[in-house]
Amino acid sequence: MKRVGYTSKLNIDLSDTSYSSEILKIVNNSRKKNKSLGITGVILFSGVTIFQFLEGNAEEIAKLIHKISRDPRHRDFSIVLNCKGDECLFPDWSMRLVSAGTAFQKEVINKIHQHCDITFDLTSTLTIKSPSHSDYSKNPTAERASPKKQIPPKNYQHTIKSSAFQLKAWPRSTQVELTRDITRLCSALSTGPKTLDNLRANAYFSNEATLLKNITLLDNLKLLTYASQAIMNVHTKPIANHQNKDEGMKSRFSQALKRFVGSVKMNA
Amino acid sequence: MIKNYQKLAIVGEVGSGKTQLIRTISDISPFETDVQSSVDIGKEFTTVGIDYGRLMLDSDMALGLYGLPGQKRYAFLWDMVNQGLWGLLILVKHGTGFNAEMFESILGHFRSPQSYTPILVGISHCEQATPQSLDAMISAIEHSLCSHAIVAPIIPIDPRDIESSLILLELFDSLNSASQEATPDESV
Ligand SMILES: Nc1nc2c(ncn2[C@@H]2O[C@H](COP(=O)(O)OP(=O)(O)OP(=O)(O)O)[C@@H](O)[C@H]2O)c(=O)[nH]1
Ligand SMILES: Cc1cc2nc3c(=O)[nH]c(=O)nc-3n(C[C@H](O)[C@H](O)[C@H](O)COP(=O)(O)O)c2cc1C
Ligand SMILES: [Mg+2]
Repeated sequence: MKRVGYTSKLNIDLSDTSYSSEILKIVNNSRKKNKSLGITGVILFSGVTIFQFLEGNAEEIAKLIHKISRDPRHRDFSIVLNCKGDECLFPDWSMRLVSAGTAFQKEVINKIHQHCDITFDLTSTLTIKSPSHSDYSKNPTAERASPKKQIPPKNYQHTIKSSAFQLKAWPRSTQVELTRDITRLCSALSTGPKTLDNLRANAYFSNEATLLKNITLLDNLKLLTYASQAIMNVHTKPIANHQNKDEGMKSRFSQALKRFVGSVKMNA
Repeated sequence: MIKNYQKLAIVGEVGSGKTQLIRTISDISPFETDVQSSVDIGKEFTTVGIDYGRLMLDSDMALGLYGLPGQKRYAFLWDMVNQGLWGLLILVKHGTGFNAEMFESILGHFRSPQSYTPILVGISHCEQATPQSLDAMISAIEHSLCSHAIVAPIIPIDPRDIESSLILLELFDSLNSASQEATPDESV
């Protein structure tokens, strides 16, 4: 029995009269699908902020989470809970909608707290301010993720030029060919947030146009997070391997490996 | 005398292609392996169940290849090589269902906030796979990586194929170069 929880923000305008019907649509569809997959759980709404808890067969959960994470109806997706359990916490609910600020919500959260070894702070979900449509304009990345608005390239370039970003996941071989440029870019972006200047400084990227093109490509695949939202990654940011005192040794190794790969390819 | 020695750990379930990959890479080595010591080192590991091979890159430079079983009960073997790794390759076999539990126990063991090891996931036995089934498998793997806050490439590989093995080495090289450039106090 796998248990997974995530938070995200809905791309639904709260001033829109269809707000609650949109939410109901998501929940009702989820209920039907989850029932057929043997998945149960709860979903907490507070304004545009969501916390969803899912439990069930590990493989089914993994597939579903992947689908949900790429759903354009929400953004800032981040997994906050991932554990195993012997029993269902909510066996009767294929997807129960829970409103913010109610005693019932407290009950549900307490239950999750008790059964899952979670290290994240749920208070943000408990104490979210009442919904306000200015949420959108305050968040500089909201526009970028919103499917309703197409951002002209100029604006977009402004975003990548002014903020640091990092890689959420590598592009799949079924999506993109891993060229040398893409590989280097992704490698650089997987070690922590980088600004455009950081990337340029690495002499790798002789061609600015290709660099921008590849960043755009990754962004279109929704594989980039911008530093302001990379909260999850701040704590887990990898520390460069400094155990190996001799950096020169590693770089000589790298050169030898490149020579070797080149020579094998030439003889092939 | 080998002065510059790096280690690549290859961990994976039964039949995922560990032995095959080590053989493929060792066989393309352009330099004469120092037979004596290779056998000696090899024996030390094979007797406890670790596959061993090496790729000579120069007369004094080599990449050691260590094939390790994926089941958690062999974690004591993992610890025998888990020190200053150049890379960790996790091999998963397509077509037998993704074993998330095994995969995540490997991730948890090898990657901690204190030790950054470049990780790559290779999917083997997938030359007959449909794009849909490959995608479903990648989704499951991505989810496991994501829940451990790990960002790593997931690529289909054929351990029998030289070119496929070279791509793998190039990717590890790229990940290592990037991790050397990442300074820990980088402010955003
Ligand atoms: N068709 C195909 N065969 C493969 C592939 N990878 C490995 N094999 C074959 O599968 C068989 C098992 O591979 P091994 O390398 O022995 O697997 P292993 O991981 O060492 O397995 P154990 O030592 O039993 O844990 C061998 O015959 C390989 O040649 C692949 O991608 N495609
Ligand atoms: C906030 C949110 C929560 C969702 N929860 C679920 C869910 O629990 N179960 C589900 O099947 N789909 C859920 N979805 C919808 C999925 O993202 C996806 O649209 C749906 O599974 C469509 O599947 P299909 O492509 O197989 O038709 C959710 C979407 C959003 C935006
Ligand atoms: Mg073997």
